[in-house]
Amino acid sequence: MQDIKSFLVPISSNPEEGRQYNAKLPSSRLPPEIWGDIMCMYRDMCSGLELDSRILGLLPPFLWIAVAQVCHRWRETALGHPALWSHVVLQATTQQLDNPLRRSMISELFHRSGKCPMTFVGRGVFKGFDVIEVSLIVENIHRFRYVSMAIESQTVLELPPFPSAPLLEVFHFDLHYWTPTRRILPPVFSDSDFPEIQNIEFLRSSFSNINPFLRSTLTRISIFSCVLNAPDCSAFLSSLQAMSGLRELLLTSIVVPEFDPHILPRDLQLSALRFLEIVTTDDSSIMRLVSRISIPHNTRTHFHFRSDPPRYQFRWDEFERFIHEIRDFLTSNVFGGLPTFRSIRLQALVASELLAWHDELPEEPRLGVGDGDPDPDFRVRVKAVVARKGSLLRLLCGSLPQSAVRTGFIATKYSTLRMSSLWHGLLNTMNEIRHLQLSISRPVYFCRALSKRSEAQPTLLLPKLERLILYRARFLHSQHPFRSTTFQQIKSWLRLRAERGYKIPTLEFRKAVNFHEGDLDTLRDCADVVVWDYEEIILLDDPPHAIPAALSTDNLEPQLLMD
Amino acid sequence: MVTVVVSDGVTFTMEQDVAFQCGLIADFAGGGGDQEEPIPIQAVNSTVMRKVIEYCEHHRNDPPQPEVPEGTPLERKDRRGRDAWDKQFIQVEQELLFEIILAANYLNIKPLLDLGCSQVAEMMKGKTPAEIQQMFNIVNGFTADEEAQNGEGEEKARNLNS
Repeated sequence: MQDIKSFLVPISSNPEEGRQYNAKLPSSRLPPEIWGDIMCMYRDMCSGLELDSRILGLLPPFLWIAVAQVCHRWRETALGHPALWSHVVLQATTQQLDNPLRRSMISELFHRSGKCPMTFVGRGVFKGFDVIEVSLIVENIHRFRYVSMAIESQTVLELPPFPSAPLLEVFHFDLHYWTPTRRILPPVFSDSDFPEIQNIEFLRSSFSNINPFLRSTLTRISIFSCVLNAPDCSAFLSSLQAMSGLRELLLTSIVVPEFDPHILPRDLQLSALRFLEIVTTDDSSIMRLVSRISIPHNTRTHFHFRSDPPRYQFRWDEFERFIHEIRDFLTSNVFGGLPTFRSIRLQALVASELLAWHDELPEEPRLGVGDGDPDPDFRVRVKAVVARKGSLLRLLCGSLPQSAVRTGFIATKYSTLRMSSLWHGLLNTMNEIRHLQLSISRPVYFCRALSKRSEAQPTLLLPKLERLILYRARFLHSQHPFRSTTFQQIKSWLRLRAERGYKIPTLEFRKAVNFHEGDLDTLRDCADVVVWDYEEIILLDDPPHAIPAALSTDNLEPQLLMD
Repeated sequence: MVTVVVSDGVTFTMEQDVAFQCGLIADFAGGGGDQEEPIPIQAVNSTVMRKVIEYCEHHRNDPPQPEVPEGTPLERKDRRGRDAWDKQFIQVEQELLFEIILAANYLNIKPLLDLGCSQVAEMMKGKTPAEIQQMFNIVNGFTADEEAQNGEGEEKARNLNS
C-alpha cells in the first residue's frame, strides 16, 4: 500500500523558491479547475493505454496518479478535484498489485472522490480479483453512476446481493466464462432499486430476477447469450410497453426455456425505438416473441442471423434450407415485411464446416473462413459470408427489394464469387445504390462484371454511386498476365459512367494486397482514389487526409440509415 | 455582424453565427441583431483572438454538443474526437496553447476548451512526472522528504512490474 500511498499523501511544506518560480510559468496561468479537467483527460488516456494489450505489463498500474507527483501545485490540484478520483478501473495492469493493496486503493478512491458520482470499469483480466474486492464495489454501488463489470472468473464467486443504487444509469454485467451448463455467478438483484437506470447490458449470465432493472427510464437494453427464466422473460417483455424512451433494443441468442409468447399483447408499441437488433441462431422462441412488436417506420431494424458452429454441424443442403427459412421469415409480415428492414446481416461462421462437405472449393479455408469479423469498424448493410459460389448471396439478392439496399453497403466476405454472371445479377439489383462496400478477395471477377456488359445494361453503371469501397481486395501478382486488365476494366467502367454524366465516385481501397503505385495512376483521372492500410503497395503522401471526414464510415452510416 | 475589441486595441468584425459560438459574446449581445458598439474583450489579445475566430469560422455549422455529466467515463463521451483540421489547428507553441485555453474558458467556447485541454493531456501521455516537469519547465517544489517519498514510490512501482 505504501507505494500507492506515497503518490497520494498530501504534502505539508515545500521550498518556497521553487513555487515562486513555477507561479511565473505559462502553465500556471491556467486555473486549478482547468488543470483538474486536463488531469481527468490524462487519466482516461492512461486507462486506455493500460488496456492496450500490446503494452500490458510495461506500464505501472494507476499510471495516471503520476500527475500528483509533478509538483506541489499539481498535487494540490489533484487532491482538490474529486472527479479525478471517481474512476475505479480494474484491469490487467492492476492485477500486478496484490489483493490487499488493490482493496486499499479502491477504498482510497472512495474517500478521495468525495460526493462525485463514480464509475467502475472492471474488464480484461479480472480473474485476479477476489470476492472482497468485487464486494467492495457491490456494497458501494449507491456511489456509482456507471458500472461495467466483466468478470473472467471460472470459479464460483458468491457476491453479496446488490443494494439499491439511486445514481446508477449504466449497468453492464458480463460473466466471461459463463455457459448455460456452467453457471458461475448468478447476481442477486431481488432487494435492489435502480430508479435512474438508462442503459443495461447483460452478457453471458443467468438471472433469477431482473425486475429492478425494468424501469421506464431505460433507453437501451442489450441482452446477449443469457438465460432468462419464463417469468422473467414475461416480465421483461410486458414492461417494454411502459418504456416510452427506449431507443435501442438488442436481443442476442437469448435462451428462454418453456416460454409461451402468446401471453403477450399482440401489438406491442415501441414508439421511441430507433435501433432493433435481433440475433438468433434458430427459430427459437425469441424470434416469435419479437414478431409481436410493432415498431416505428423509421426504426433501424437489424436482423442478424449468426450460425453457431457447435450447434450447426449440418450439411450444406440443410444450411441452404435454413437460409430459405430465414428468408421466409424476413419476407413475412414480421415488422411489416422486408421493406421495413434497413439492415440485414447474415454471418455464417460455419462456413468452414460447410465447406468441409463441399468438394468444389478446396482452397476456400485458406482465405480464413471462420475467423469472424476482421474489422470491428466494418459496417455493412447486408453482410454475407458467401460459401459455395455465392449461393447465399444469390438467395438474398433474389429476396431483397431495391429499397432495402439502395443506400447501403453490400459486402461479401471471403467471397468466392468467381462468376461474373452472379455479379451481374447482384449489380442489377442495386441501381439505386449510392455507397457500395465490397469485401472480396478476388476483385478480378467483380471488375470483369462491371465492364463486360455495362454498355448494354446501363444499370450496371450504378448511376447513383458516390462511393465504392473495396475492402481486403487481393489483386493478382505483378507478373500475372491479367493483372493490368483488372484495373483497365474498372477504368473503362468509370469512363463509361462519366460519359453518361454520372457523378465521379470516390474509389477507396482498404487493406488491399498487391496494389501498386501504377494502379493508382491508372485510375486517378477517372475517380477520386483513396488507399488505406495497404500491403505491399504505394507511397501516398498522406492517404488519410485524402478522404473528407464526413465520408468516414462511422459518420456515414447513421445518416444513410435515416434516409 | 458583431465587432469586438481586444486587449491590444485591435478590432475584429465577424458574422453573428461565428461570434455567437462564444457564449460570452452571445450573452453580451443578448442574442439580438447587429451590435453597433464593439464588445470589449479585455482578457484576450489579438494573436489569440485570431486563432479563436479561425476555430469558430471552421466550426460555424457544427451541431450543438450534448452536455456530458461529470464522472462520465471515456467510452460514453463523444468519440468523434478531433478531426484532422482540429489536430492541425491546435499544434501550436506551448505558451499560445495555454493562451487559447484561457481564452476559450473566458469566452465560454466549450469545444475549444476541450480541444486545448485534450491537447495538453495528449502531450503528457506516457510521460513520467520528471518528463512532465521538463516539458512544462516545472520545478517540483517538493520538500526533500516528499521527494524521497516520491522516489520511493517510483522504485516500488517499478518493482511491481519487474
